[in-house]
Amino acid sequence: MKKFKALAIIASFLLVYTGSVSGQEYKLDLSSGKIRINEVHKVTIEGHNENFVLISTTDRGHHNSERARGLRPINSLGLEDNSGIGLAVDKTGNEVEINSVSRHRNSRYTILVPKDVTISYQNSSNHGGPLQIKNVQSELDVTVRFNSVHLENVSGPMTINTVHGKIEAVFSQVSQKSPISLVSAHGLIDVALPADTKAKLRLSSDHGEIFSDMKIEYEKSGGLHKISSSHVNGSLNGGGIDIRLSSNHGNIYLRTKK
Amino acid sequence: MDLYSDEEIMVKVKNDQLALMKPLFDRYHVKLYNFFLRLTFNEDVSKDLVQNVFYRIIKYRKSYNPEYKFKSWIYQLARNNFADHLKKNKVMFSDFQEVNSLTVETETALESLELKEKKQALYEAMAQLPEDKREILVMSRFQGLKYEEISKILDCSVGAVKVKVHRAINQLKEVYFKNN
Amino acid sequence: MDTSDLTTMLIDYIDGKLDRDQTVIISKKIEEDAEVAKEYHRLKEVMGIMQSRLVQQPDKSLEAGFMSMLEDEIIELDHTLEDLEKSIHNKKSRIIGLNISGPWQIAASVILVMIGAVIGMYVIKSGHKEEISSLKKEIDATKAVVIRSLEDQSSASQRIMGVNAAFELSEADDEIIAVLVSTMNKDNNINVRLAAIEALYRFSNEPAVKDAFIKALTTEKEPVIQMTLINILVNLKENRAINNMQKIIDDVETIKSVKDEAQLGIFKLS
Repeated sequence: MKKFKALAIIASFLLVYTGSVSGQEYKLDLSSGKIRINEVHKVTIEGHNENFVLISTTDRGHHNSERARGLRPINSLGLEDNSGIGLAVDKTGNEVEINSVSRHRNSRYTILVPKDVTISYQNSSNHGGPLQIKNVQSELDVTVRFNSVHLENVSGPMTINTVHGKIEAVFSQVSQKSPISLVSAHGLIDVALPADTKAKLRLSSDHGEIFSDMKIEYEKSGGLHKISSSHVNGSLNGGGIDIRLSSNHGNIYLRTKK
Repeated sequence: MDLYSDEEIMVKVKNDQLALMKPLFDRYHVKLYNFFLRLTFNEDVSKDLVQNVFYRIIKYRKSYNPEYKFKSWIYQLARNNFADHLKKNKVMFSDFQEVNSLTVETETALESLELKEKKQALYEAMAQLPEDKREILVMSRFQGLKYEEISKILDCSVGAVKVKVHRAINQLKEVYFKNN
Repeated sequence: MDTSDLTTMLIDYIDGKLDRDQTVIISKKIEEDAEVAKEYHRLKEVMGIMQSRLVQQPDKSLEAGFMSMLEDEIIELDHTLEDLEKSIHNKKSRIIGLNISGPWQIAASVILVMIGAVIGMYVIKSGHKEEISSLKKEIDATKAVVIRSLEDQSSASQRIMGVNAAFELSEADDEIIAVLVSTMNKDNNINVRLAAIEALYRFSNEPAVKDAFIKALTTEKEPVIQMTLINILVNLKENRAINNMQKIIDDVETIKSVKDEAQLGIFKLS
């Protein structure tokens, strides 16, 4: 009997839980333009081939709290949770801005973004968790302090910078449209590029080391090599778009994508 | 750091790759400028002299011997250049106006007033030394060249350089404390 | 020991060039003999002032003058080669006409032997003149690209491309430097600002660039930029930056690792 009761509790918990997950979604139409995501601590961004943005989360947010039932989180910036999932979502023209309303949300948001939409993410707090970005071919701008940044199946153009986090990126190809710049003050930077990538490289680490298994043609300027232990300029496969990887304290790893 | 040595670059210049004068200029023009500045106390004259040294390198590039240190060669050209300049302009350095303006500009905010005054006095004393003494002091002390390097430039023994430097310091000291 | 020997010993003593035994002897002499001590202090003062090897930076006219002289020389070299080639043609026709007397014959044969080498050299050099005359145009075009790209507020990556175009310039001009300094200080993307700093670093022999780096230290709040500036100023041995580094350390808002970097910077520059 006791056993049955325990199972029932677990079952009802699972019911409530899965039920709330299915309810934790927000969708809005967008086919091109820009999406800005501000101060949302844990995010996974994925590109998809649809003409809408879909935000989902496992967080049950204020529904969690009996006392807050029927109320919505608001904050000093005048932002209101108009999405029902703890985010203020604002669309002006073809620009969407997403702000976090509640300060201490711990659950992860997954945001699916149409493939032609430019993405900008910033997080200036020290609560930022790992930022995951997958399958994105459009331009990316990321400015964070504590978050680490993990990129998978990306192509650039992109500018990524973090103070304390590391940056890991696996490129499926490298866009020749405009430059790629990955910068960290303290974290390591680990980048895998396809072997046939055409690029001009600027790698630097003031206090760390630079490692690579790629065939780098070192830069010649007026017949002179430009290389030092902490700064490497060169090119891959005859040169192409600029790729800058730089960390003040972390190591730089540049590897061939397997 | 550029991987090519001065000598390797100069060999390329010798073979008519004149554009490579630029890295040599980048490496030496500030040094030479300061060399002439301590000798002439005049910024415009110093700039002209530096320019002329590089002009002579281009003109005489075919005479460069790759077994000879480029640094020694360029200082030799600089010295000859300065000697020619003196021949042409027999004006000596009685005019402290120039010394004044120079030292005023070399002041930095971090220096104490006392040090500034001492520097001023030293430059004035320098201006009263004969050319050769002033020159060897500039090379040995202000430019930080080693006795060995100076011996190559002056084409004399290391021992002789040392004696010359010591005499120059001693004379500078005498003039400096006589003035004060 | 006569006075000139003593002076020599004292100078070597101050330079740290004496062996241990001699050092002991001299320091004892300085202690015991007031005259020697006086001589020592005088030499030390004079040598100490000369030791503070203050390096003066020449203004930009020196480099500009050098560059224009160099361009003239390159153009002249090309002309010399052209003339030489022309004269070869003339002489060749004369050889064919058989109207040549003694010395010309020798000259002509020497020149004939040289033809191969000269033409080879000429092929290498012929690009130079156009390069020089188009240099100015190229600078102007690059400038336009830089300025236009930097106005593109929608794409940080585009702006980096603009900054990198400036990076390709072999020489800076005031306008480019001003644009890059403003980008370093004001762009709202850190990656763009870092690219601007790196481009400026190439022109760090310009006093305006050094001054801009030093000044930026006082206003900068971004740790990545702060650290990069500190490192650059240390590399440039720019001890005028020490005061501003101290200000960074004293600022309560500075994060610890930046303070450490500044502390290290001051240590290296002092």
